[in-house]
Amino acid sequence: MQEEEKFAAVLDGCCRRYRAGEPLAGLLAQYPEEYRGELARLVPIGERLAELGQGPGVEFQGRLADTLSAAYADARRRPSPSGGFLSPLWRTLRRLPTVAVLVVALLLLGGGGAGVVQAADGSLPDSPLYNVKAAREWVRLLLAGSGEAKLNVYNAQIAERTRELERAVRLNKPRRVVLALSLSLSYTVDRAVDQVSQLQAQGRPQPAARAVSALHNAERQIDGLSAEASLQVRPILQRLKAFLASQADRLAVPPSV
Amino acid sequence: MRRSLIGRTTRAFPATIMLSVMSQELGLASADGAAAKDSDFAALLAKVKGNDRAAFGELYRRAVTPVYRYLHARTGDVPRAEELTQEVFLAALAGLDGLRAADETQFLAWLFQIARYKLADHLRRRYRRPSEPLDEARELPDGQASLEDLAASREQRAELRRALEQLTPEQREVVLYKYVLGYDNERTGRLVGKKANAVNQLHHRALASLQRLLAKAGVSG
Repeated sequence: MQEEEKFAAVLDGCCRRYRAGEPLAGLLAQYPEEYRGELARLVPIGERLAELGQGPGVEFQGRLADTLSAAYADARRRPSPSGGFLSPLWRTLRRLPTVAVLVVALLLLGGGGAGVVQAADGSLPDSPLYNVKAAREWVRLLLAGSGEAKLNVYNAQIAERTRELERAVRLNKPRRVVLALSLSLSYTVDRAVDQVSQLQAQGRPQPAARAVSALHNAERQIDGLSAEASLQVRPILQRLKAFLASQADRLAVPPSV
Repeated sequence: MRRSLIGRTTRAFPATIMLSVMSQELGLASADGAAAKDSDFAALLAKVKGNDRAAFGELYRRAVTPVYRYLHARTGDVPRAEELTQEVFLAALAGLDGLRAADETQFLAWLFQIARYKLADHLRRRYRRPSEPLDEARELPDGQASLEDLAASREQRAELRRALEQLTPEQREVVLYKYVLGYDNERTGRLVGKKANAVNQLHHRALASLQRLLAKAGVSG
């Protein structure tokens, strides 16, 4: 065995014993004298390395679990024969060419189904009309030509999701409704943050301020809402608030370049 | 063509999320009480590739702490470690169907590989848009230590991280797996694709380099 290989094995054994709690002075005395100097220098470094990584916070783990759970459900979604009340509509939409879907959505947007659209305005995700509202938002986003226009749509969606959350909490809607709205809001915030980054990369930092303002408004409203929310949904709102705050902080730091 | 259009529509349509949320009971909280008892990792992975949220929850619980600790050790910044951890898991979710992992170590090796890519992206972004990290202040322990001690401790950790980034990738991985994640030589060797004696030598060289770099930076041992 070559000398380096031999010392490397000794060092490994010594580090393991040190980590197990044996005092260094006593340990060193058990190794050949020619190794002691280097062992004394190297062994404590491992302990300092161990201090570098801390574990994830409970709040973060919960928030990530929610996000991943939604993403997993989305990725694994299979058309179900029984389905939910939205499934027939969704299956129909999937069969239609995109252009047809667009035309229908544009008609709705243009007032062709004004009554339906108006009714959809006040809907929540547990209502079939909510899909009309979602389609309308989707069309607005498609029609938004510039990056700034898209960001304006996202900001409006953030405000709308927040209002819906308020309604859902005050109407004491089931947890899944609040969760659906929270996920949708997080999704929109992600998109908005990406959009701001793209605009900043193009040398246009101003829209960030509007997005930060939208996020702060939402954060304040969610914060106020937490106090009156039921115990079942309060953790969701608290995680959402923390997420909004972190994203607002992220955007509030101006790029140095 | 039509297929790709539908694909694009599906991704852009906000109702996609709503439908998935509405059509299934969401939340890993429900999976908490029904943790998968199956210790066979391959079986667990097969369940996850199917449509078993409890199994997915179990896989997430097994992996979230090592991935986060690894990223926190590299970045020293809680929000960045959180952001990168989320990116790693979302990327992993997207590539899960193509994953061939016979055991948990292979699965972790795959996750750490993703983490390294994400970290490299992050470092490139940071290089383009440098900003001062707020990191270490958040992780100072509560206790009786003086502010000077805390500041010194913070500076020493920052110096150690800088030294760590100057190691070769293999040396860095070995010491991170052994010390930050507490893995034994067998698992560390499998994660870096080396035999035990090669791991020992990488470990030795890593500590020697760190000691030299820290001494050069004036950080006492």
